[in-house]
Amino acid sequence: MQAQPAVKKKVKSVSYSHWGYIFIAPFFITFLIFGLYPILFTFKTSVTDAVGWEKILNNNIIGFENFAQIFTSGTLANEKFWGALGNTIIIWFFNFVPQLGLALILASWFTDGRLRLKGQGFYKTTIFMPNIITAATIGMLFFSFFAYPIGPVNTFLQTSGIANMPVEYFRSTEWSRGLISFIQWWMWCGNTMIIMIAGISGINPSLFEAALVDGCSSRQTFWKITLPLIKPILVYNLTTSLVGGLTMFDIPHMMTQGGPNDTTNTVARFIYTQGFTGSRNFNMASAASVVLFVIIIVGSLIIRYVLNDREPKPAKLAKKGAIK
Amino acid sequence: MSKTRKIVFLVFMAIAILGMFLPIATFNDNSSASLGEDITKQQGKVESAETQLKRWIDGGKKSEADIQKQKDKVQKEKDKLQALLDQQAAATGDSQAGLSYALLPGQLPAELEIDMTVVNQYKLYDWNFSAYYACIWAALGAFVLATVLVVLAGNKDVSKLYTISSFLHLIGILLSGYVILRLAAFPIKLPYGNAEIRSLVALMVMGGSIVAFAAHVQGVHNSKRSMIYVFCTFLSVLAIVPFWIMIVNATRSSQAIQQGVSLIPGTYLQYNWNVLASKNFDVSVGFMNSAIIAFGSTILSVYFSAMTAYGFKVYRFKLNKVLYAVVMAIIMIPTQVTGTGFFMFMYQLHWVNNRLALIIPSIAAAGTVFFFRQYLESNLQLSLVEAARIDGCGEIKTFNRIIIPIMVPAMATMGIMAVIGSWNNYLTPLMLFTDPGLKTLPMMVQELRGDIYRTEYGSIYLGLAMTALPLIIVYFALSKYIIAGVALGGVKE
Repeated sequence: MQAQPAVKKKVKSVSYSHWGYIFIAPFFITFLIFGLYPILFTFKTSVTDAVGWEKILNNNIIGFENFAQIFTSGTLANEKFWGALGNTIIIWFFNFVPQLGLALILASWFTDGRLRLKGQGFYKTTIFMPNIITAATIGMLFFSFFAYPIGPVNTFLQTSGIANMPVEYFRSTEWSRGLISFIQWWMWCGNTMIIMIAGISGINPSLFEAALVDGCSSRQTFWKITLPLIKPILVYNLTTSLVGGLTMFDIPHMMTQGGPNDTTNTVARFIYTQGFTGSRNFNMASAASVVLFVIIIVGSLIIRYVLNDREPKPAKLAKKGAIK
Repeated sequence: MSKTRKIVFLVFMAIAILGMFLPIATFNDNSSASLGEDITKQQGKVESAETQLKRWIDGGKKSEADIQKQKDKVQKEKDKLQALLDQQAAATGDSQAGLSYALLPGQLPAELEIDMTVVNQYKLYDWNFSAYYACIWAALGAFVLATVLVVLAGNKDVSKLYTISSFLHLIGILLSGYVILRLAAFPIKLPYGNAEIRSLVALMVMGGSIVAFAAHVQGVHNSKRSMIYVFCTFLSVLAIVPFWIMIVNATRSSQAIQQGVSLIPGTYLQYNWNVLASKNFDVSVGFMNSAIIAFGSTILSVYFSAMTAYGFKVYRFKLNKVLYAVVMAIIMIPTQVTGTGFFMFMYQLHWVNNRLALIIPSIAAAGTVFFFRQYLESNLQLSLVEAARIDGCGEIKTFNRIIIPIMVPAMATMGIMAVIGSWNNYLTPLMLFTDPGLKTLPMMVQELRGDIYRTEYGSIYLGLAMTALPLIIVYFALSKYIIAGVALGGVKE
């Protein structure tokens, strides 16, 4: 009530607030056209019979048949979609757990005032490097490295006497999945590490000093101070990694092409092969996209809910004060 | 380092070094062992063939031709048996079975010839024994030097010498391990099979050095530091080596690549280039397309994101908070999920095979808006805008003339990130473009997977190197900004 006269006064003089809409207009217009409309289009296509080029735009609404195919067991789409989702989650899990673990360890070393490591810039720069190289190139590079029967890895293992026979890596489910997980780990470890370092550096140094004065060991400091305080960043990182992992495409597509026997086929590859190869099942690709979209949203919300809400209140306050 | 630890270290180091001078491998005459079995087997075969023949002749039911065939078979088996017996006689006359070979001094005995048929069959081994000996001597040198450094470091707990020593020690362990494995794999001409490593000696070299290493690491106060250095160096090497091998292989011939891994560039760059050119792999097309899309979309995204962030920061309109929350939500929408609808929309617009389809949408870059908003929060004072208004500067002009210069550092950081992101984008152009003239670099990489490059390993690596090198160069020139950008972009909330 008290604030109103002031506002009115401002309006009376000169109002610039409408300029705000003008400044943000390009963003929102572009988003509505190229962001929101395609999403709605995807939703709409998912309930149509859009198969092949003739029906790409002139299609009929047929209800939830495409979803029914995904959710009834026994159909090909059902088997492939949930198989792909399982592969994606397995590959993501074995990439993310070591990635986050190692990133946390490295970050705690690099930020430890007692260690005072030298050459941090060099290590950060090199460990981060794989992250900026084109994923497609890396997929193809590792495809060449692990080629059968004569690829650098097979040759090296034989000449050094570690293995007697060349191994056909891309015929084995375990090797293929393991390699994709490894490459994802190798590409994203540096990225997570740098984010964690930034998060830890953002913590108020006086907290660490106090811990030092109180006689905390490095390990105690890490578990009792660092980890609780960077929890929001961990949650954010977990969410982005989950979203990125569920939409993984480049490496599996370039390296294994989903093989052997579709055991490295990911959901994004499933959508791509449905909609952009063969008979162009745009409707099935859209339906799968919608299901994936829902899974991503639900997954993100679960992570947020589970990890954020159980936090005791004092820690929450400390977090707000500590992190910029 | 405490006294007992030092003694443990020195004793085990001595065992390891001593082990390197002992005969480590025996080239067993493995032919005679298996020969005996073969002979008994062959004798059984001859007997069974003969009884069969007898039965047929006695029974009188079989035709003449069949009996003749069986007679030939018996003769064949008998010949084989004779050949095996001859071989056995030759082997026993040859008393060099069990020849042993020392790891360090001397050379491979002259009579142990390399089996060139194995070599040619697999094209795997190189006979460059000088390199092999260099490995052994380097390992020995590393061990000795590591020991000397530990002795020199004395009882001081914190010393750089310890760090250097642990590096050297680890190199020695790796090299000697490699040599031991390699020795077992030498294809030696029969009757000598591959070498059998004498486990005791291998145990002395590897076990001794590893125990000494553990004692060394455990005993020193700054060992955690040294171990962290060793570990981080390992990770750095792991990050660089694949790219280094890629670049090196781009300059080597396909034969050389088949024969083994090398870290030294070759001289076949020109040849590989010609192969690529002859197969219509024109990297300049991909480069041009990627560059147009990357720079076009980056300029748009950086400019309009700055504008949006400025709008959110400076003006207090009604929907400010709501719309900003929408921007935050947009960050989380992955492009892969909307890909199908996006493609169909572009098809509707007739923008399939049009670069604009990848450039225009980048005006709405939510992540960049968020980053700029954070930047303006700490770097922009509203009094500056007010001063501009008083001086009669229009709002758009204020933004272009006054705000943009303030935002240049942030724009540079996000610009680099946007270029890299667009440059690496593979799925969207793959969905949209069918015209070969519009291929981007990641799409050209897929071409290399095709059958026409099956045997041209060198040119595959050259193609890959050409797509990766621009990024590697840009990265090493701008790594400071890139890492800062990642760090700032990641710390949300």
